[in-house]
Amino acid sequence: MTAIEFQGVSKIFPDGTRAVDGLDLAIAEGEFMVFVGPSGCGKTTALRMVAGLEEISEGAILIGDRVVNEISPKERDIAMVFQNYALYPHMTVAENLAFGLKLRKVSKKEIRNRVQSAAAILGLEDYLERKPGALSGGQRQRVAMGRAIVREPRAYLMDEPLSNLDAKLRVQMRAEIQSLQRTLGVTTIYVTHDQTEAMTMGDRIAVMRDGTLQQVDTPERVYQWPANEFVAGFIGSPAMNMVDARLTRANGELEVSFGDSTLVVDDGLIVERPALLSYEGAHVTLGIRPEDLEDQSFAPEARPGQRLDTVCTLREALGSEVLVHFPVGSARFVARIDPQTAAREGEPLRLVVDTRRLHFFEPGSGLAIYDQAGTVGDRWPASRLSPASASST
Amino acid sequence: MTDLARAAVPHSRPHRRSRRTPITWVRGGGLTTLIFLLPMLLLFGAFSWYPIARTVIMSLQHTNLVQPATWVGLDNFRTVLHDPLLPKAVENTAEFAGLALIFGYPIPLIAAVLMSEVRRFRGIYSALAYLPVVIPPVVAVLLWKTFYDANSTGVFNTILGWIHLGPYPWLQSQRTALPSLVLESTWANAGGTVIIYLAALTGVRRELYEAASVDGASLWRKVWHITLPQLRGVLLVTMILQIIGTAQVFLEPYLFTSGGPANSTLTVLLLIYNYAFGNSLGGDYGSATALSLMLAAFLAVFSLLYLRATRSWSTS
Amino acid sequence: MVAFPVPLRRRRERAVAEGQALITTADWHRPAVRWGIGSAQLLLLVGLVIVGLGPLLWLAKSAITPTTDTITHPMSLFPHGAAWSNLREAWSNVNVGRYFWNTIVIAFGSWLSQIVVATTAGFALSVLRPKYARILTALLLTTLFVPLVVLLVPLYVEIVHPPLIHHSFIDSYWAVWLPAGASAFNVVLMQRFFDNLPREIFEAARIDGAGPFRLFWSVVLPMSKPILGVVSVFAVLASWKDFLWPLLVITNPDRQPLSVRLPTIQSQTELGIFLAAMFIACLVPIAGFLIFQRSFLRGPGLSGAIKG
Repeated sequence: MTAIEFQGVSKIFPDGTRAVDGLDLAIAEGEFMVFVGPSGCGKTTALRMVAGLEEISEGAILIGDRVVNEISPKERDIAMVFQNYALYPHMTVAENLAFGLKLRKVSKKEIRNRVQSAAAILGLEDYLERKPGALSGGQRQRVAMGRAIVREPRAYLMDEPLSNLDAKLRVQMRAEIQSLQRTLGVTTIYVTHDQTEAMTMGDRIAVMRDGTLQQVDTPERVYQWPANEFVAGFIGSPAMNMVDARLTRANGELEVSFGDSTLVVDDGLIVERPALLSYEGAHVTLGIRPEDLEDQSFAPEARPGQRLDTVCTLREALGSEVLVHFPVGSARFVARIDPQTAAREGEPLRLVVDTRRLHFFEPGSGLAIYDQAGTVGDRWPASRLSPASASST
Repeated sequence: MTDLARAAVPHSRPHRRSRRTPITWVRGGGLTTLIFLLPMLLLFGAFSWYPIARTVIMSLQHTNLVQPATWVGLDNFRTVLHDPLLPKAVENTAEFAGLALIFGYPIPLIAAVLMSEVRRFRGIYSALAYLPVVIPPVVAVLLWKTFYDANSTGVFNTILGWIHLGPYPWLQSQRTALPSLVLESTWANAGGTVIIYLAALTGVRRELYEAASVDGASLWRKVWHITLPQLRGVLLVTMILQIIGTAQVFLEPYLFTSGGPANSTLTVLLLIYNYAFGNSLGGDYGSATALSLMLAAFLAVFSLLYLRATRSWSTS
Repeated sequence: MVAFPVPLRRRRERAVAEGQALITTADWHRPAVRWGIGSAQLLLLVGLVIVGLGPLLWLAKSAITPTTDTITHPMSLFPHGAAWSNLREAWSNVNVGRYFWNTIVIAFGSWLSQIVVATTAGFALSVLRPKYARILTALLLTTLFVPLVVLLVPLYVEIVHPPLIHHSFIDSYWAVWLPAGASAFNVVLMQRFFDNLPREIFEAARIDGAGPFRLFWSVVLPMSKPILGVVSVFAVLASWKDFLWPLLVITNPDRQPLSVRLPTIQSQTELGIFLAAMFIACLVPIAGFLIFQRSFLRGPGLSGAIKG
């Protein structure tokens, strides 16, 4: 059952900028959908259009099965959690929670019940008579969420609710919000610029850039099968390494060469990305995630076609792993390797690449190369492109 | 596996903005906004914008409240310009404004500079300075009128008598009447200026003074090179505001001396009042509005010239 | 951001830290500076007491001094005892009590008129933001630049002969209350204050289901207490001090406010009683000033405090 749906939705500002351009997206009942992307990508604008705080320039938004374009925020039965909490400073916590219910003429008894239960869930019982000015940042954030909970709406809309909290609190609240959503089972749209939040919290994540939807799918699939260079570089930290490369055939195998190195493309990979074959002899952009590289000493069974010899220019020790920076042609790569590595700055570095996890993109368009010989995976979400869905369509 | 809308549902037509009918305007909240604006629109319309327009119209008419008004073109302006009292009024007003500037401009500044360096009790200084501003002007004027009693038993004359000065005629002599008015006016208004200066002074960034101190600047240098330049904007604004305010002085001449003795305290505003409401002239609304317009025009031109002249000096 | 009132003591401490940089602590240690500036400040304080407080103290003293003493020995202190009867007589016989009440009624109405206009207009311009807001704001600002003298005569004629209604408003308090509301300064002040309120609270209220009236009454107004206080204090004070306009439009002596009556009282009563009446006229402004000092002394700096 679709809870919220975007149909060709665009937002055009008076000066002509398209903050959101032709967004098509369906969110299922009870789903935790995360909109993620860099600043200015349109994610907040899209959220506000669902809330009714921004007018919809083109297309339609449906909540339930109802087109809500012309419907006021009040009637849409949604609740919003703002980045800056937006609590009423002159009202107590209890009054803040009750305000929306009072306006909807909910009975006093019912209001009291809902406020009490929300306060219980969020641990706010002792703070009900305080004013927001007397609360800490984390407590205010909880009150903001409580305001959404008591309304018992069809959907929660959250606009970067954690960005004003310090790092430790953020991690804690992330988990709390997730478990809360799972318990209450309410459809949620969550906007963030932090890809870690997106990956850990979402049932599905929608990656946006410059107003257009780049890809929407589960976090794992976005990670494993990014639809284009942008998504590949945006998701995952440190970012995926990219370099110009050429695909050639040698000794009956498909090879990719870049800089001074050559890797053999794993056969299994070719099965997953049949379109690669049509790029034989052509230039492609090769992507390798830092975590798909490893110090040779820890991967003794690596084949020659997986070796990458280079020089370490920078070494960053993080405790749980080591990041080494090294040049590849004119590009600079980062690898995440075992903390026990003997790699040293200025010394030769011998790495191994997991050639089953290479990524390829068409130069120019940046689109990922996946299925259908002769065609390039288009910008539509990977669920239409990944082998599993390819077999189901 | 969730499937996507695009494949399942046909693309709906781009949503076109509905036509702007009165209904959409009401639904869009236009009526509510108008309701909120109603008090302002009504009151301003009736008591601000309409009177401004009426002034212009009335200056070109002869109005007597019984019959409808008649158009007389620029006659009113001519009458006013030929009034022998006008030059006297303009001269007195200029003298008042000038004297007020001399007394009322530097003294509050010096006081404010001294006050800004007070460590404790600055509140007492401010309160004392501002107290006269709070007193109703009528009380202030009438009180000073008793002070200015020309007898040797008048308050000021008594005090000056202690140091063997006076008695002075104060309000009763043509020479001393106007300055006496200026003195009271300064007393009543300087406090406001002090507070404004004080606010501006405390807004000057400490780092500027500290840098100057490190550079070895003396106190006078700091005042001259930092305080005054930083205060430029405020100083210029208060000057023009004071000039505009004193050019419209009415209460003091009206209550102290009714323009006397021998019209030595007749100001432009008092003349306007006399034209419109005075016992001898009274009812000449045409002349009154004509003179008001001329005064307003003069002040407008003066302000523009002033702004242009000081543009290069004021802070951005 | 929003200028919420800071506890008085903290602000005074901060205020001492501001300013006070012209003369550094090192400078203070130099005897020349300490004695020079210090004595200048002391002189200033003495001057302020004499000049600022002096006349009022004299008024207070003379209000309860018999007239003859005030006339013959104005600077002496109760040579023949105090005359508290001055006050009583002023209040009842000379009807100062009634005029005092008139002033209160007029002040209240003027205050209400100003508050209603400023809050509703400021709200509409700042929160509701219609497309024509700019034009309106420009019209408002032009009235600020028009000298009051220009309005005097036509306003008077309008009161005597209102355009549509054939009934003079002379002697009606509405002639004072309504024009008082047309203060562009108040509207702009309110508008700027509302501009500085966080927009997200309005959006949250919208989502909670609040319409414009609810938003105005339950959210915006309660959040505006500081600015309402400042506007109110200045409105009441301005009304209390008002002279020329009430003089023109209220001709019935029984309905005139205190300031309008005082000149007549001076010519009709003995000095002692008159001074008592003047003293009574000062009570409310002085008391108000002492109680609301913060608002008064912050007022002129307010435009800076609220900006941006």
